[in-house]
Amino acid sequence: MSALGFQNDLPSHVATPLLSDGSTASVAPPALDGGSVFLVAPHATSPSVIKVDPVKAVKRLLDNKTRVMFLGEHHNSSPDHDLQAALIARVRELQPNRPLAIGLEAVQKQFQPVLDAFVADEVDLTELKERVEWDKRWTWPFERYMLVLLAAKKANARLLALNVDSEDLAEVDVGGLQGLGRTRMKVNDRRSERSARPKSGRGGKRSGGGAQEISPPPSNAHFVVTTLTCECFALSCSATSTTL
Amino acid sequence: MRMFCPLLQRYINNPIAFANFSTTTAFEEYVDYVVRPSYDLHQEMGILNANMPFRNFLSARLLWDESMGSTSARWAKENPDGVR
Repeated sequence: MSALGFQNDLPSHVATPLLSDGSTASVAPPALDGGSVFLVAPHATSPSVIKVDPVKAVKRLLDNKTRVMFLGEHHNSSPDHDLQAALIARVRELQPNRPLAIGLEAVQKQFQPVLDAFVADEVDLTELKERVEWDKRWTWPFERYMLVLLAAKKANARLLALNVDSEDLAEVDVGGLQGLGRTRMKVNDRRSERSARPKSGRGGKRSGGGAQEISPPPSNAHFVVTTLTCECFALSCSATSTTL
Repeated sequence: MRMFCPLLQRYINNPIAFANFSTTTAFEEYVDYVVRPSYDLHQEMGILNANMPFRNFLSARLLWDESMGSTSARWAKENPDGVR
């Protein structure tokens, strides 16, 4: 079980250089065998967890043609995020040429272009943190996610902004999903226009917002590594759960 | 529920599947064991918006989770040449 305390931040001598210039040279990926990994066997009413060897687990998943991995986390747990970074590195090591995406609950969909710019080396960690309005919209310590972001970049992965924009979520809090449909049109239109304007460097492809319907992915699709969290996953912190 | 409004389409790839999921046993379990306790906890901690009914809390959680799932699925769909 991962500690919930805040004492496990990156050491200041590591975190400070990362935030000031985005340098990755001095940061080694965490060791994968340093954590406890549990596979979650999905079941509608009684899911179970199985402790596994983390190094073997990734290979086993890939051998089974797993397309999606859900990585549970306690948001404020450094060991959880370190494990995520190690898993990303391990996946890339085993599959050097496979398209890979890392989904981030912490980043809202309107900021997809910022993540694209980070992967393209057009913005550094400091600018990323500022432009996705991390402290306002997520609040959990950015420093604990830095190794995950760097591991994704090193793995040449696509970073995906997964979460609902706060502006829309606030409407649902008040009026349910019907409230969103009825009242958010004008605000969303303004935000779309703002996001469409280039900021710096290459603008990323904006995901979402399209009118087309997309069916579930085919069984042989590339896999997405998705960082998720919710109370159910918190049952097995430092865990990977899989949908096979 | 207006499943086809443009703003919901921003977050929900497949509105029909999204709606149909609410009829499953898995959905009932999700509500009872995940969302309801979370709502109670938020209430206890006093961090819910004033007088937010459970219905709206559930709607927000559904949209939150569906946004993450739909965005991931969309990428997988757009990158179909997986392991051969």
